[in-house]
Amino acid sequence: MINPLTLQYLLFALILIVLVLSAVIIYLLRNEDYKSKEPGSKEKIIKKAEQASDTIIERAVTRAQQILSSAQLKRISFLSTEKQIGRQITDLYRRDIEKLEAELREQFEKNTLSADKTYQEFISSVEKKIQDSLDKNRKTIEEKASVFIDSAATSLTEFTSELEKNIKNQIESEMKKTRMEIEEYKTQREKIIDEKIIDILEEVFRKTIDKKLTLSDQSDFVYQALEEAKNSHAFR
Amino acid sequence: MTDADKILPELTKISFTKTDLLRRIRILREYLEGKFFAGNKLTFGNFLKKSKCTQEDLRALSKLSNKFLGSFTKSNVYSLVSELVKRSESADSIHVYLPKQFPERDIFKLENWFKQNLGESTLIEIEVDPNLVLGFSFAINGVHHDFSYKYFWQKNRQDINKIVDDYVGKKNQ
Repeated sequence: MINPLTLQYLLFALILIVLVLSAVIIYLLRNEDYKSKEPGSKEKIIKKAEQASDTIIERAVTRAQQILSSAQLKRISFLSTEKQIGRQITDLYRRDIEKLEAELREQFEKNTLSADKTYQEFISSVEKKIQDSLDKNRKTIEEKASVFIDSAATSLTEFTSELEKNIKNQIESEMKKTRMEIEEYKTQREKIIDEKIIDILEEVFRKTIDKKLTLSDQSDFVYQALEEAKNSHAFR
Repeated sequence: MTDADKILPELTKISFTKTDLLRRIRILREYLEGKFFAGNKLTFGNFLKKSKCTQEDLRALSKLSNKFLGSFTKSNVYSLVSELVKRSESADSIHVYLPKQFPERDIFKLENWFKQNLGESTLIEIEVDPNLVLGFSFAINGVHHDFSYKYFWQKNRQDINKIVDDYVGKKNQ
């Protein structure tokens, strides 16, 4: 089967050839006329040539139209055939696509179900493992915590007991020390008060005796003191 | 033993204080200067009566014997008197502090007590210290001895304490 585009090129080339041939014939006839130098024959020749060329051109045009019509028909037929083939290919292709799509969907659904199942199984497995691990850890922690709490309770009881004992001892010691300090302070204060009383009495005595004693009394005290000094050997 | 060693005890016997002793040496020197260098023919007794000395000085210096006065000659009078003054100034004395100014008769009595109890050569210097209140205090060889009211107070302190304790005890019962 000839391509419609090729046919158009051929038709165009044929028309060109006809036109070139017509032009050549016209030229040859005119050139022959100049050579004859006869006025009547010249017109006859031109008229004859015109007629011949008209016939030739008419035939060529007719033939070209025939060829063109034939080419168009061929082209139409070709396009129709081609359109039909394309439709068939499209249908075939669509069917294949639909089939493939159905297959893919089915496969995808299968895979999805499988993956979902596998995932569910995996999740269940993981959950179980985590739960087992949690249970195990909780049990271990409970055991260790129990041991630790028992140990801590024992240590705390011992520590509290020891601390209580130490505090009691310290308080007793401090109380004893404080009591001693209070007693000492009391004694000191009493001593100071006694001293103060004696000092006050001495001051009262000094002030009152100074005014009350007569010269005779003073003289008696001087001689009494002189005797005391002599007896105590203070003059040596 | 020098002449000063013999003469000074005679003078200290009749003097109670160092001031008395120095004053009486001065009176004695005046008499001896008059006798040896001014041709004074007065006896020592008459010189004392004519001089302006106190009755105490008159009474004390009248006790000096002629033998004592014969120890002084024209040649030794100045050197001997100078030696007596020098020794009197450096002689040890007891500083006696009394709480009040006593009358002269009491002072005389007190001075006699020292002469009688501590020896005739004892010299004293009497001063008044009202803080003593009663009794006396004295300083000898640079050491002070307090026999004032403080001494009596301390001496009776236990008795005083007992009185106070008894009083406080009764009050607390």
